[in-house]
Amino acid sequence: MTTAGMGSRNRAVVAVLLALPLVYLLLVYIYPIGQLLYLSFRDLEPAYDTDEFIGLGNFFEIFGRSDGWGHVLRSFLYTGICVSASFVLGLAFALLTTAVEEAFAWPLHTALRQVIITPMIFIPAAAGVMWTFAYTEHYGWVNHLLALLGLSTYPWLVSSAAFYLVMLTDIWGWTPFMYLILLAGLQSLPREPLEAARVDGAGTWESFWHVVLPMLRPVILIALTIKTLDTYRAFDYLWIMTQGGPGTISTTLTIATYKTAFMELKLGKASAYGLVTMIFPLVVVNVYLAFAQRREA
Amino acid sequence: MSRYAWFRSRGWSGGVVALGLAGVLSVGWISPVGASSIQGTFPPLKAGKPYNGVTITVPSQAGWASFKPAVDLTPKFEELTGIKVKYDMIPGGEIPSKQLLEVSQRTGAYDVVQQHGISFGAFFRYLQPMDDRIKDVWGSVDKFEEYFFPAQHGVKGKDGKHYFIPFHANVQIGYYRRALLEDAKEKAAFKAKYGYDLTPPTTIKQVEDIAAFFTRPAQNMYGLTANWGGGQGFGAFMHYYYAAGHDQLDENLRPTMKAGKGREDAIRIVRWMQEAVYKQKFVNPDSVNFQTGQVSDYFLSGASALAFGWLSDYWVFMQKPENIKQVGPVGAFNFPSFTGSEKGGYASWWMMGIPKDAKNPDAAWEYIKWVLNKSPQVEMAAGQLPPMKQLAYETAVKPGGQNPPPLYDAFKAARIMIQVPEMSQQPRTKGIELYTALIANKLSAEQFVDEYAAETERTLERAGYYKK
Amino acid sequence: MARSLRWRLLLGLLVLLVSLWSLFPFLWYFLVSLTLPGSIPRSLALPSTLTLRTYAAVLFGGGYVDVGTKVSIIPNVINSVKVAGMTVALCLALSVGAAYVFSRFRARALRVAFNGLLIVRMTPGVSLAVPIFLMMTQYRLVNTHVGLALVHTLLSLPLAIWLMKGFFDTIPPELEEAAAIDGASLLVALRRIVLPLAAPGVAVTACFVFLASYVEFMFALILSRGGINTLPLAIAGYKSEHQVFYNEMAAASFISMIPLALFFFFVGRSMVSGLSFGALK
Repeated sequence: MTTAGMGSRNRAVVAVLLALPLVYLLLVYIYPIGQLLYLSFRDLEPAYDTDEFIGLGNFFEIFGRSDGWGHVLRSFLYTGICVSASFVLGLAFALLTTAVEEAFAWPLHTALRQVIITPMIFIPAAAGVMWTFAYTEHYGWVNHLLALLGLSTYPWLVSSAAFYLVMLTDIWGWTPFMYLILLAGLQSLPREPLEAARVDGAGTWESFWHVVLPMLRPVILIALTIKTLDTYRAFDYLWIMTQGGPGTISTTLTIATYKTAFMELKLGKASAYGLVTMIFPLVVVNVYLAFAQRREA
Repeated sequence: MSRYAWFRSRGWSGGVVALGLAGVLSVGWISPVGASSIQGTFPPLKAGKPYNGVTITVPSQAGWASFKPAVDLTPKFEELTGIKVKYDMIPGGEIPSKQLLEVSQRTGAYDVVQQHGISFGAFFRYLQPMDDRIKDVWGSVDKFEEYFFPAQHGVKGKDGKHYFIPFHANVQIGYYRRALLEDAKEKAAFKAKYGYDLTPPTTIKQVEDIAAFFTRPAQNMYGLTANWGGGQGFGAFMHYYYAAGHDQLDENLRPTMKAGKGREDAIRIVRWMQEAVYKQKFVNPDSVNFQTGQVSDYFLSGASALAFGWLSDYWVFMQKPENIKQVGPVGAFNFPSFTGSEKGGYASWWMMGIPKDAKNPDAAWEYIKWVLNKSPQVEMAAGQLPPMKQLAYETAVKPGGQNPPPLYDAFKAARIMIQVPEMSQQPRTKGIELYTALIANKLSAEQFVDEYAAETERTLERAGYYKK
Repeated sequence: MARSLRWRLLLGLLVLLVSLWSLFPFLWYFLVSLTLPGSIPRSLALPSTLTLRTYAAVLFGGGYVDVGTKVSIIPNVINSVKVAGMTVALCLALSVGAAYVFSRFRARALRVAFNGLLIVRMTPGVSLAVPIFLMMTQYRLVNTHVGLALVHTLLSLPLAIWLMKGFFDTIPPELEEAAAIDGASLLVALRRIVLPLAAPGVAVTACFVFLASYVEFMFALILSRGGINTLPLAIAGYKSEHQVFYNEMAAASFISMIPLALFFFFVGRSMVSGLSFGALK
């Protein structure tokens, strides 16, 4: 449909229907973005009652004294590891589920599916505290298990392993999401190409690599894009489990922004952090859109 | 007839009346607010419910055991004055930031602010000066300062006025298991090993010896557990540093940790803490994650012989037999100074102020005055030290008091951590960040001390304290 | 090959490993939720008594347990439901119409707008935290359900439009064209014909929006002063500065699981495939 042949009243309705969310976004998104840009170049600290223009001062401080590059690195590290691991695991689980479905007559695969998505059923905050508890020395099962095996206990979340343990929790909690998408993708694949490949003599691994994966590409791309940008801005697990500590070992850009805003109360610097944090998603989205446009053309 | 003759003619009844009149007048003179205050209250609350029907919003700390009696007794305040109190229970770590963000935006959301003494520098700009109200109650600012412990002296705005009224004081102390330290067999074994009698420790060497003695992996027991996690851990370090006889800033406002004896002692203290966990191993490893609640928990499960933290919160709790089934009776000791100095450690000092934009400042003042009254202070003393000297003495030193005497001793000379208002945010936030790396053994003692001193200097320089 | 015994055994072993990975972490935590506060075992052993009293204490508050918080979590649940409910109402109201327009019309400007939604969706919430917080403070919306609902609506709006456009796409436009010939206005066609058909899709979208608001943590943390503590905040709040209430924390965690479990049990994977394919368009 186009609005070409429509009466003016209908056109007005279309305009209003579109305007509703647009106005809302203007107020609650565009205006804050504008304020973000404005505040990034100011020093706004309620604790000292300052509010003045300081040009690029915040950015110099972020990438100088405040280890901004370190935060960027850790954001990418966190995102890279969590996304790849949950992708690989999710794919593996999806393949396992399809294999189980084929191999067993009774619906083991349904039960398996329910089991696999269980971590996602726990709300992130609850999963965060559960894993924090698991790593405590005195009561948690990780150290209890170590003690049982005769090894010495360890203050996991206050050590250099802390960052990777939070990643592990993230992977554990979000693999089901990847799993479901990949499973749906796998199970909606047409059978013919796969059977044709088998008839041609292709082995399991080859048919997987050269037939299945390419057909799954659109689904994989979507899943990876969404997951990457969601993981990049992850907050819940990091905050609940380590609060960015010990020191700054697990401080990503998100945690740094939050801490600067709501613990150090440096609202200008926090806005600058917010701006920096937005760069990567903007780049990714633009690349994705360009890619998608080209595919449609 | 002269007045004198009139009295005389009335006989002794006249004399009684005259005496009574004189008495009433003199009482009115001593208590400046006069007969218009509620009987028996000090600081006196206004009688006649002049603020009846008003609601005030008071932010407080979620899960704060030692303030709970005041919260529970609030209905009495509401009854006495007709003022309704609405509490906003904010999680502990966010108390300064959330309240500051609120009052700095001048929203009028709060009628009172409840802050820890270290935050005063960030807040005083947004609060009403209290000097006039203070004079109303105590007669003069000097008398007000005398009424409380010395720590209150440090808490003034840049203009020298008072913006805060203290209502809760605390200091970190140590607890020990009497069943262990007073046991005859243990005492004999200890004497045989170390050559002196086993008593609650009075020197750091004794702490080491006792903790090492009671670290028994086979029984799943450590010598000492402490609140060395995060912000509280940083506070523990500060306590040790202050108790060693240092302030954070010298008379030129330069950080004492930068050089000389201050630096030496600071390094020695943090190295001691690190080695206690990682080398000597008489402190349980999880302590690097512990806040006081977990210390108390751990100690009560019988897993350690000694404990350190803001333990007065749990003193009364630990006197009840049903709560100490696994550990037996608990005693308290003042954690020894690293240098043997007589100076006190770091005082936890909670205060209330009234925001400039408070909707009901006078009703808020009534609330603040009420919190300082004997009730609820005595009920709160179950988990804190009343900040007023007289009441603190009564509840901690005099027999029958519900607090342990070491609490009073530890507090007498304690000071708050902040010496100039600008230190309320930095370098403390940076200090905590550095500390968490230190106690995770990721930073050396020298690095911690030097970086913290540098941050302190930077903060004060930026605030313009150093003359060029 | 598909059904040989060796293969099945191998699969069986893998299934076991995967189940351990997914379920084992819950086991200890679940045991802790069934213990009384103050009696968590200090080694890997069954607690001395298993009881539901901690659950009772968490749900109803009061004296079911001797020590512990003794505070009910129901007010927090109510807060979460209130905020989520408002979010769903506002979000749907804003997005249904726009989704319909995106679905039926093909102007280039619309495509640009739709892609713009992607940018909104991908903006890190934390970047907007300071401006949004300042705005909320200015309009006295901090610590209010409405304030938080406004933010949650922003976070879910792109997804809601996205999803519903996908559902509208599955409804053939012939019916509306027939209605247009009959003289019905767009609004009437939307209300009387399309919406009833899309009702299941709207319901599913509502579920997603509700859940997203229900589990949201960061903005709830930023905007709450204790008055609107939602369930995720309450659960995280058991670990306070002064004390950690592990048993209550565990019980509350499992209680909070119920809505999500119900959602996945009934709705299942068909919804996720709808989600992913809606995204493909």
